[in-house]
Amino acid sequence: MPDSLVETVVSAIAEVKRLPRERVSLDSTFAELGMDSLDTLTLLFELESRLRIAVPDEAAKSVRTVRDIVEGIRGLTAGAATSPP
Amino acid sequence: MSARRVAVTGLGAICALGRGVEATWAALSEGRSGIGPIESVDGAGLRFSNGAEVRDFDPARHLDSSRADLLDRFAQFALVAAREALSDSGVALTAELALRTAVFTGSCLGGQSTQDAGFVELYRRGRERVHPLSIPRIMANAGASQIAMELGVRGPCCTMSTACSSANHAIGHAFWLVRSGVAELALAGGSEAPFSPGHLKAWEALRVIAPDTCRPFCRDRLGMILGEGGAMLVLEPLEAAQARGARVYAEISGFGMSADAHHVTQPTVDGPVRAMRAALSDAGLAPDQVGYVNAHGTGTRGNDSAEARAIREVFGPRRASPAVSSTKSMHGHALGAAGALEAVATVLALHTGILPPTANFTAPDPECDLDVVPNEARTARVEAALSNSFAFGGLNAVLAFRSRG
Repeated sequence: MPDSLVETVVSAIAEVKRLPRERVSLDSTFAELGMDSLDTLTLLFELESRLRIAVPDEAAKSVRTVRDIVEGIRGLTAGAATSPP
Repeated sequence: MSARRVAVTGLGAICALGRGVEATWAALSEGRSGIGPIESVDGAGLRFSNGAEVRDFDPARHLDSSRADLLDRFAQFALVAAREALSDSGVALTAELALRTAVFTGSCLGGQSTQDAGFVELYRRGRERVHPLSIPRIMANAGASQIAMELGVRGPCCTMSTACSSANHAIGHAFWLVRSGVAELALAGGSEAPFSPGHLKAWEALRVIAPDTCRPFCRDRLGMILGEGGAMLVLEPLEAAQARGARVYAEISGFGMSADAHHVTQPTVDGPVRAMRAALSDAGLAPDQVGYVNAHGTGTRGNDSAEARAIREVFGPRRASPAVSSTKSMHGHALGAAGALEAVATVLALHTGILPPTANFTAPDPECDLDVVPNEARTARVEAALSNSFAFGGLNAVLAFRSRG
């Protein structure tokens, strides 16, 4: 399950930035990938659709690396799993 | 031929702070914010809930019903503000003067709520047609055209659409037409009505709207708050104004523009610096003559720190810098109308000697090291003032005004 999340994030970044997937790793920073604030917005928009999640604005402001995104989404989905319906 | 001096002799405004200049200025000078829960649109499912809407606006009180049908809310605001400004100026718009009168309006979005409603009919309700007046309601020049038609203005009329700088570009160009002698009178300003479900969703996706309120230059700022409304100024040669014994609120004395040529949403320091310097140079003002800057001050992290650096670069170290406030903390960010509402605020600050504050201020941000007139208006006679507007797309427009006092 965690690996498939990493895979989803990496492939979304590769699509948004039109990069070969092998250029994108868990340790890549957005700066290294040439991602600016609008690319980040587009990426989060894609991931919200694919994973059926909602990323709050405040969380969106702090992501700077691929790992930030993956861990942020894990936190969100864990929170959703434990919160009351 | 030496350039003419240009007077501001009439003001009109409608916004979240009130319907009319008097109510608007009363709120601005008391530091009262018009921001509150959005009521005109069902906000269910939106990540933000507050806006600065015009409350209790009944088009039927201003327009007969056939006319009201033809005007989107944004054009209604333009027309209502223009009527107030012209009446306030006391100008008699003779047939001869009307031929040399200009109308310049700013609008970022045109009649987007009409378009949004039409799309709901088509795509959600499965209807096969939209209202036949949709196109004349949606066109961004509807405000300028309706003003010209109602008042019989027959000179240069147009609409500028440069996102959040629209009204400043419109007022600046109208000022230049009057100064150069191309026009003998101008009605200039802007209007906007951004509250529709589809449009609010687009702002939500951009993640720049504050969940609470607008706190420009503040450590705790979380983004902007959308506003709506319209404002118009009457501009005429100072000599003509004096000859007819008009009240002159202030002179409009300079206009400066620049492009960042950098990024569609990230601001620069250099672009605003060059626009402010261009406005000062156009006005023949030295930086130390400026005692007040009505900032663009959106309340976003990016704008406010870049604007603060730009202001300090133009005006020098803090002790020498002018008072700076963002009235968006009260009337919200009215996009294509923003510069017009802020021009009214700036002109009245010069005229009354009261600087409107930056409302909703909690704690200073070291990244915005300015004298931001926190929360309470300040009594101060200042010689000159700037009003800044910086648009997405990196298009900057700054107006300079001089006090008559």
